[in-house]
Amino acid sequence: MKRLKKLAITVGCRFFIAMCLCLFAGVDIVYAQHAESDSITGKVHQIPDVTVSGKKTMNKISSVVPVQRLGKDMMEDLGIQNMADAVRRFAGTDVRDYGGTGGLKTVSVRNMGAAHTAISYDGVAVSNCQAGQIDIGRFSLDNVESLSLSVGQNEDMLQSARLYASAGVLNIETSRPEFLEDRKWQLLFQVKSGSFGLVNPYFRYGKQLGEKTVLSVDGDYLRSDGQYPFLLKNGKYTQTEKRSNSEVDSWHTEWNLIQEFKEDKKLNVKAYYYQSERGLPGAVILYNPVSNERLWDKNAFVQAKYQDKIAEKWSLQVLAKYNYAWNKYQDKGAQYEGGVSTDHYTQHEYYASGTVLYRPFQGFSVSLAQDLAVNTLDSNLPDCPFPTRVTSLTALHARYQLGSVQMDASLINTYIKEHVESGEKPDDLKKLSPSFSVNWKPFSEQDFFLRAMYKSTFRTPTFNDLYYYRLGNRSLRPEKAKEYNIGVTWGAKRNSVWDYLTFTGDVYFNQVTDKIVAFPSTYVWRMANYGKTHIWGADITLSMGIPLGELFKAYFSGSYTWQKAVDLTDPNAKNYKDQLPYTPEHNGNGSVILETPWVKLGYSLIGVGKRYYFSQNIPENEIDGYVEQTLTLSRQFSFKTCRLRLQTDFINFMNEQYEVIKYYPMPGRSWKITVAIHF
Amino acid sequence: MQFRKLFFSLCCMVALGTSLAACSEDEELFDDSGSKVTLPAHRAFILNEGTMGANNATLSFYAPDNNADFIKDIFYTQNQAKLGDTGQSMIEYNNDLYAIIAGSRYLVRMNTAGVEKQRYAIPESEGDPRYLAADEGYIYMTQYGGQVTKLDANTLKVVGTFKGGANLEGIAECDGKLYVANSYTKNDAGYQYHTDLFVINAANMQLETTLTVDLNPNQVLEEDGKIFLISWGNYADKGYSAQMIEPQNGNKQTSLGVATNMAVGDDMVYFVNSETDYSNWPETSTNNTFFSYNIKTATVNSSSFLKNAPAELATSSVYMMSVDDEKGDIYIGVTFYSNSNGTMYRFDRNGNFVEKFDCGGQNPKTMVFID
Repeated sequence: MKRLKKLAITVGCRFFIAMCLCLFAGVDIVYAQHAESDSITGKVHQIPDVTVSGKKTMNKISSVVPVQRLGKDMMEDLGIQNMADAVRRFAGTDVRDYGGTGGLKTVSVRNMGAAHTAISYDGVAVSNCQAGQIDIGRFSLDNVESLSLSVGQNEDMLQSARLYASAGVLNIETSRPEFLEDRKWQLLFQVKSGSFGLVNPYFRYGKQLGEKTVLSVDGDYLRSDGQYPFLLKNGKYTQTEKRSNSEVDSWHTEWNLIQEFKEDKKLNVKAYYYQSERGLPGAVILYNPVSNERLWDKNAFVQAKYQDKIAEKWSLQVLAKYNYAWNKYQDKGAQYEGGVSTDHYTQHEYYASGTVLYRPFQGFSVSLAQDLAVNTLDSNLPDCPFPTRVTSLTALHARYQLGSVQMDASLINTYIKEHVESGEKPDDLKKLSPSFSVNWKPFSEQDFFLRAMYKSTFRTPTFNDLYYYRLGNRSLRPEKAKEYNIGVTWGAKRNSVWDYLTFTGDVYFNQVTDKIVAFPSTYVWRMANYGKTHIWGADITLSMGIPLGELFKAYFSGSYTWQKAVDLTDPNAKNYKDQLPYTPEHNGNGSVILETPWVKLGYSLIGVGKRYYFSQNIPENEIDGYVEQTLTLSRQFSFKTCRLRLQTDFINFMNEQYEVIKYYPMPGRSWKITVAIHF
Repeated sequence: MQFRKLFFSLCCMVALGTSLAACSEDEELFDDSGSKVTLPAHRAFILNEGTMGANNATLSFYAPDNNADFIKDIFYTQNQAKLGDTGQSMIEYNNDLYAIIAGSRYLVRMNTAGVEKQRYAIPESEGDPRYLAADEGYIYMTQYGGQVTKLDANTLKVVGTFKGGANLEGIAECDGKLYVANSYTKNDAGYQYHTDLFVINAANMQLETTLTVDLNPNQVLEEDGKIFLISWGNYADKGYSAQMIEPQNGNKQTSLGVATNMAVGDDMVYFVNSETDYSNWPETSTNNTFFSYNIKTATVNSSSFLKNAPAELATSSVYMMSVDDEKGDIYIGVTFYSNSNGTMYRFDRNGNFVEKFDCGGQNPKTMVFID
């Protein structure tokens, strides 16, 4: 027994040392850099005695609110295909995936709706005032360092007011260049190829321009014919069909300049361009395979982020962004004069944010964030009033640390003024939204935290809600959401069984009122504040690293979500108290990564229970649950001047035929090969 | 003796002939061949539109005499396949059912038990199918893109077309003429609403004349030699309206009031105006006004033809109305859109509430009766 214990300690120590060496050697430099890049916020604002989370954990132990995180290495090791595939592994998320590479993918946190979830790209919120929801499918994972999802109040105090004002934030952090050996430059080529005509080359060039200046240029191209087979069942007929009009052709480039003036003073400037053309296959329609819809997108933005610890007790963050978004939608059919209908939309956004953080004495911090945004929409649709929206968001956040208890309170003031060139403008919006949270570490020697949170948020009606031809309603009020959460986090100490183990459990209740929905009116619908939902849920996550001798390591992570989300709009309705559409009562996922001296093996599984695709919970509206499994083999070779990485993914290798959205079939079994060479 | 034998034989033949004729008449009335269920003589079918893109159009069976169970989707029961996407319209003609499944772009012919006999797939170059009329062995189908297609009712072979107008909607036949609503044009400038009611010679499919009617004509029905039309207006300053056109009186037009839907039968026209009132925002509700027109007496009765309707019907979105010619019963289908299945309210000819029942699908679009 003693011998075993000694062996376990030896193995544990070796693993720990190996990890440290790896970190210092730069194998895991991306993590080190990430931690460094967060130094201003991380050092100042996290509560003391925080245990650094392990390499493959999916959650942040210390957080006041539930935060889940996926790093680049884990995404690679598990063969994660795209942003939506990554996000759906977070507990409590609801990803609407319309299938295929080009299909729309949106994320909603704890069933409050996609418009309540903010997407932050390197610290700056991505917005879409026209539709309110962001297509996360268009973001490439190639240059992403980490994804994190925080529900409720993010613990970072140096953030923009826009992020404060959201019910949940999906944070996308891109990676910095990684210089091998003593080089001052980096060159990375990567090619992915696979089923359904997928070709996806990617390159990165990074250059150390001076002692404290780094430039990186990323570019990727993606094309896929998207003609994947699927099984179409229609009573006595079961036949294999192929998705049509689902090709996508896109490219994206991104330029990043990082200037570190001195410690705790940093400027990041990013220029981004994305362009795509895709077919929109639409729902699979029985007996009618024709689909003619197409979509073109162009999106460009320039953003700058400046962080400065201006004095011992003062920190500052300034953000600025200009965003241009254009899209063209085309449909063909005899119902249109000339056989074609084309709609154009152009959005501009001018955005600035400033946040000041003050720590007058030990244990107390207060921050004030002020955002100003101007959004415009042009369209060729009839009766488009060419709206301009001016939004002012002010967030005041105070944090007090009393021994092992941390208390946070924030108040967000929203003021929105709109201008239209025709018709009546909506009333100005003025609203205060408070939130509170408490985090308690009852045992000083244990990484065990208890937390509670309340947050009030709302979503503003989108331009489509207000002005869309015939459907829009300029009298809409905001859709309100209240979140209540209690949770526990435990980070177990390392022992002979595990290197690390983290567990989180959360129980929550969300209340959404004044939901903005298309109100039933005979023949012509109109947007209205007409809905009320209650969402009860529980999320559990578990991550652990298991040493298997000197040569092998295993990492396990999993999550489970239970959700009861009911419609309470109309007591006389047939769907009263029925589960909301596309909300499984049970869903979860698990993954295992096995590191061996020869190859790294990743296996992941996602399981989703039965759902309903309409509000009424009757058998005809049911969608079957599914289990999707992916297997990944990868190996990295280190040469004198470069590193070579080879990877093969067997995606959905059990060929499960399933749909996330009814009649938008997901691809069955497919494969992908990745070759990456890093100089 | 020979005469007696001959007389007896003749009597037998007459008796046999009579019985055969009766049998054949019965068969003609109830062609239930291939049916997997036994249906009563008096029967009704509801075409539920479903939700676009969800392939959930259904055909429900209902026994007006309450002598058989309701069947949610008799098309699936009989054919072991789904009807498809967006049930648009349905008529009964010569003891067959003809239905347009617009999203799936086909016209289907079924027997009186819902067993599919034939289908006609709309060619890709043509517009979506909309509404149906039938006469003299032919089916007439309006389509978007300005087309009326004439098909042989027994074979569903195309025998003629009319091309003209933009997006055509309702159609009715009267004395060899087709009355077709030319509703709107969709172009880059938006929706351009028309005021045309085409009068087409059904025999040669040539346009005879164009009547100018209220803006955005849509639903067209015929009863007792008169055409009844509901126009939808422009959804802004011009609202819904109901008109009567008298072909035998020089196509004289008479305004009958404001209505969103109507049904004809039993020499009556039943109207409903089912619009949503936004004037008291944020309180919104749909308020229904029911009224009728008596064709025999040529009078509009502006008071409701319903006597003891359930309270909720006054504020529900009425999606269809239909009249059972045999009993004169009135059926009113309300929609909850994609939220839930529609509900059907049944009243007798005097407006007394009989019952209400689930339609078996979303958005009940039309109901036809066979007896």
